[in-house]
Amino acid sequence: MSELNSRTRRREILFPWFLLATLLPLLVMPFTNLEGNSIQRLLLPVTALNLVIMALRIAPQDAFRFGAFSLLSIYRALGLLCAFVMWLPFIRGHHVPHQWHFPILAAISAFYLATAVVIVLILARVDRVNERVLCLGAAGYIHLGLTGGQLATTLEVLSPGSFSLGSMLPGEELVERLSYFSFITLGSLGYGDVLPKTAVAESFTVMLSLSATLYVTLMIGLLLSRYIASEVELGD
Amino acid sequence: MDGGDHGAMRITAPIRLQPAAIRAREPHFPLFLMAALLPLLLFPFADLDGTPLQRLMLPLAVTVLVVESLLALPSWVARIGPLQVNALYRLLGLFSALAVWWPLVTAHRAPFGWHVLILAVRSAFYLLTAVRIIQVLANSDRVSVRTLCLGAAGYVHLGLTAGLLATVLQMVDTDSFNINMAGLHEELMARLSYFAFVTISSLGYGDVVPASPVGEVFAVLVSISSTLYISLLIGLLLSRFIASQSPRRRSRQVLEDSP
Repeated sequence: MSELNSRTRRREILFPWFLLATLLPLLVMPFTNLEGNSIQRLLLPVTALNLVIMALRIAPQDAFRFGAFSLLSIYRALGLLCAFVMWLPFIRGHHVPHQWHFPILAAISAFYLATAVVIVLILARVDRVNERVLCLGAAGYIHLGLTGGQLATTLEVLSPGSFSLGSMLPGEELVERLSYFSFITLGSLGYGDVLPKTAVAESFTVMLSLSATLYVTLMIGLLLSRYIASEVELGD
Repeated sequence: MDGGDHGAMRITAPIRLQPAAIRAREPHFPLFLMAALLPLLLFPFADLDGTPLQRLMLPLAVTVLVVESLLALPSWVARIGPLQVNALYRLLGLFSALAVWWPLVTAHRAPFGWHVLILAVRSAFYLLTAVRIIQVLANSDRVSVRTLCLGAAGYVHLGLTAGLLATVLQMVDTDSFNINMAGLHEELMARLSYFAFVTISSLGYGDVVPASPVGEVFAVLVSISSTLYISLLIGLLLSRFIASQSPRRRSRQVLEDSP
């Protein structure tokens, strides 16, 4: 356990950068256009590649170990695959064919979900909480929103009409609108301009909202109490 | 973050604030909370084209808030190259406090370009103030009731900042938000401040919604920052407050304070 923690501590320095890596896709989203000029096409793959690399760097060695099995290499391969397919629209200059959308989105969603599990694992077993770990707590919240957006997009591509998108804005990508929906659900805002329309989408929304509430109350509460405990320890 | 040795463009920003510097400003924290609430109380009565009294409301509230921000927050020691952040901060504040009187003095609104510039400068000042509030809260070791006042003021200030930024966004691109103002006689800033507060308190009535990709990302960022502010910062503050109230700490404090 102590060896494990010392390894986590060495990775701590990456946590603030991981927070930045989760924020970047969000910030560049309004300016991306997969069929626009090369800078507009470049924004999405670059930020996604950055996020994938940071996610792979913070993942502990034993993140996906079940007894003698370790799925870490599969997780890494999935990450590299995602980072690669994100570049296809940039290389081709337009969207990938429609029938490719679902497998690509499913792979990205799977990787994002696994990364969310990694973040929760790191946060759950960290023994000494400092500002950097709190950064990872914040990054986990934003990553949850990005994951929800990817999953919702996968659902909408798999069965169109899952969500009523409201008045889609000109030039807006589907993933952009549904990431917006995901964050509005996560923040328990619920403006109601994007709504689930099928039973599957409804239970997806309920689970997203549940996970956000539990993440903020349980995880952040846990982190803070450990943070205060380590502060008191240092003071004594 | 290592600044590296880039000569003139070296950014030095000591994150750690001296507790003594914070404690010296503490008496101002409750006043700052009141100053942050003042614009909200006066918004319904403000009208930039109305009687002199109606035109007085907004400049008065903004000037009080700017002055109180300058008094309540410890000075910045950070520099960006040759530029002192504190001088920049004061300059932005002075400009905001003076420019907001334009409609009252000239009896009509500032021309559009000037109006946007004035609001943008005020946004920059509000944003720097928000950063400073967070730095003060994160570094105050002994949390008192006054510090909690600053925590509350920070939340109100977050809403005001978001409302102001949303107004700038809406003025630059009128399709940023769907503001549904039919039948309402209200300033744009009052309406978008309402939107900002509905968003930071996670109410989300949906009567004002973003209507452009930039507006959407703006709403998401406001929502994230308010969630993290409440959960992380207020949680941190409260647990430190409780820790400083605990009997063990108290007795030690008494021993420390006695000569």
